This record gives sequence, C-alpha cells and structure tokens, in this order.
Amino acid sequence: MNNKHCLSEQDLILHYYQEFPESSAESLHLAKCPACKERLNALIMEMAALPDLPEVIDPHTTSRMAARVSEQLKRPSKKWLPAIGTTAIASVALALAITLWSPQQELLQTSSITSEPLADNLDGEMSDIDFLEDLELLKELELLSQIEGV
Amino acid sequence: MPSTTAAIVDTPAGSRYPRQMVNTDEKALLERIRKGDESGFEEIVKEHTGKLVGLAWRLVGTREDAEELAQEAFLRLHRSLPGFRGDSLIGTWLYRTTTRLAIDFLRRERIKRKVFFFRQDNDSPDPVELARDGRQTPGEIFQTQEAMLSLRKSLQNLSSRQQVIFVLRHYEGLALKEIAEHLGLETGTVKAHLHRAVTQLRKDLVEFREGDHE
Repeated sequence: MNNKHCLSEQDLILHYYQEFPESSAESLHLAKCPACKERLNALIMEMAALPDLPEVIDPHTTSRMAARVSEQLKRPSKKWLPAIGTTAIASVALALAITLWSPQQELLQTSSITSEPLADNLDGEMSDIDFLEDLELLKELELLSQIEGV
Repeated sequence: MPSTTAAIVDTPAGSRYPRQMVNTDEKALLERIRKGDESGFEEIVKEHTGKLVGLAWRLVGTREDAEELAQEAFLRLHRSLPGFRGDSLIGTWLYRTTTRLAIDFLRRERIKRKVFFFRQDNDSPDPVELARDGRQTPGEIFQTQEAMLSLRKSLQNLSSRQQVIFVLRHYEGLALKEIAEHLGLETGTVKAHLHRAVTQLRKDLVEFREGDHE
C-alpha cells in the first residue's frame, strides 16, 4: 500500500478510540494496509500498558461531603479582601505574569526571575490560547491567597 | 480497558454518567429545594458524591483536591438553583462543572510549578489506593504504584486541557463529541488535544520502560 495514503497518527489514535464507523474510509484502509495494522497493534499494546485509574471510593466520602457542603452553605458569604486590595494584588500579579511571559526575548533575558532555558521551555510548551488564559487566572485572588510571601 | 478488582468500586469502561433520576423526579426535587427544603439538596449531594469525587480524582490525582473540586461543584449548583432550568440533568451539570473546575485547578498547579518552582509531592501514594486489592502480592502492589506515579507524572507534562481530555476519553469512556460539549470546544480541537496527549504519553511510556531495564 502506498505510504502517502496511510493513516495519520491522529487518525490511528481516533480509530483506536473507535471514533470511526466500520464503513469509514479509515476503517476500510486499515483492513487492507499491513503497515497501518502493524502501527495500530503497536499502539494497542502501548496503551494497554497504561495503568488503570479505578474509582477508589473511601466509604466515608459521601457522609463527609454532605457534612462539608452543609457547613459551607451555613456560612454567610463574605468579602474577604477589600476591593482596593484586590485590585492592587491583581495588578501586581498581572505585571509579574507579563514580566515572566512576555514573548519579547529582551524582557525574558533581562528578567531577574527567569533564566533563558526556562523561558525557552515556557515558549515551547504554552500555546497562545493557554498563555492568555493563564494570565486571566493569575488575576484570580484564589491563586494569590495560596502563595506565601507575595 | 483494563479490568478492575472486586475490592474497588468499578466503573465499566465506556459508561456514561448514570441517569439515577428521571427528569420528572429531578424537577420535583428542585421544586422542593426552591421552597426551602434543604434535605432535598442533601439528597443530591449523597446521590452524586461518589461519581463526582471519582471523576475529580481521576482528573487531578489527589483525593483531597478531588473532594475540594466536588464540593465546589455542589456549592455552585446550590447557587445556581434559583435559575436552574433543568435543560440538562443535575448529574450532567455537576459532571460538566467538575470537569471545568479541574481544568482550572490543573492550570493553576502548572503555573505554580513553572513560575514559583513548587514541587508537588507525588511520591506518596494515596492511602485509599493502598487498600485496593488484598489478593495482590506486595511486589504487584509496588509495581502498580510505580506505574500510577509514572502515569501521573506523564499527565503533568500535558497541558491541562490535554490531560482532562485524555482522562475523559481513556478512563471515563466519553465520546469525543460529548467531551467537546462538556468543555465548550469544537470536536476537531478535542481530537487534536487527544492526539497530542497520546503521543506524549506513548513517548513517556517508552522512556519509563527503558528506565526499568537499566
């Protein structure tokens, strides 16, 4: 079978997860292509080596959760940071995030916090969408409250 | 999908979130709660805790964080009840909310690890996992725990979306279209994320096995 008609890695994975009906072009190709069958078998064997993640349920989870939720519902809602403090902290976090993750290489190189290898890793690993969403998250107070010393 | 042992609450591969209540029962329950009957909400919590905590644990890896996420999902449901139209089942709503909360949680953890050099201690196995199967030998238990730790570390190499999408497809058995609906994404995007996740995990598995043989 001509290799350029063989399934892409993505299609092979989708076939493994039964996303293609039996009558699909991908399934029909797989039935006739020894190379793709071999690749699929290799994928099946590797995926079979992944450990199970069963739902391990603590017998007290349900009663504990009911108590926790009930407790939370009884608490009055509270504004635990003044609005001005909130804005100030969010601004600091945003400035910090921009300093650390600015796509401009000069900013990364002159940053006292990041090193060049770390900046390269960040650039390599985060897509633009994730980057923008992470900036949004850094504004959240919940994250800041977990960071000690900031 | 690998089989699970009798000692563990088992979720068959490919199962959907169980439709424990029919729509009419849920509507009646919601009406009770809106009229001030809080025991109705407690019924909801007891009905759905097991599934939600199980889902959250699969997604985030620690029971404590899983219970926090499930709790938050319940609290958000409670806040949403006045305007809850019942377009989806309560279970579906909770499942979807928990999944999205997990993505946010994983993203925050990833930021903390990268920016503030926090190291998550994944080397201590979950005590509930230790009480899994009395029939396993100590050697088998150790191997299982090592494999679990390796999987968790590999999952951390993925983006939060890739991680969640992989777990939802591989371990929860959801179809990609369902995953897309839960996460508010296009199906094509979900497919791309799944492809990247599997590619990375396969690479890590090879390295893990080669490390075993050294």
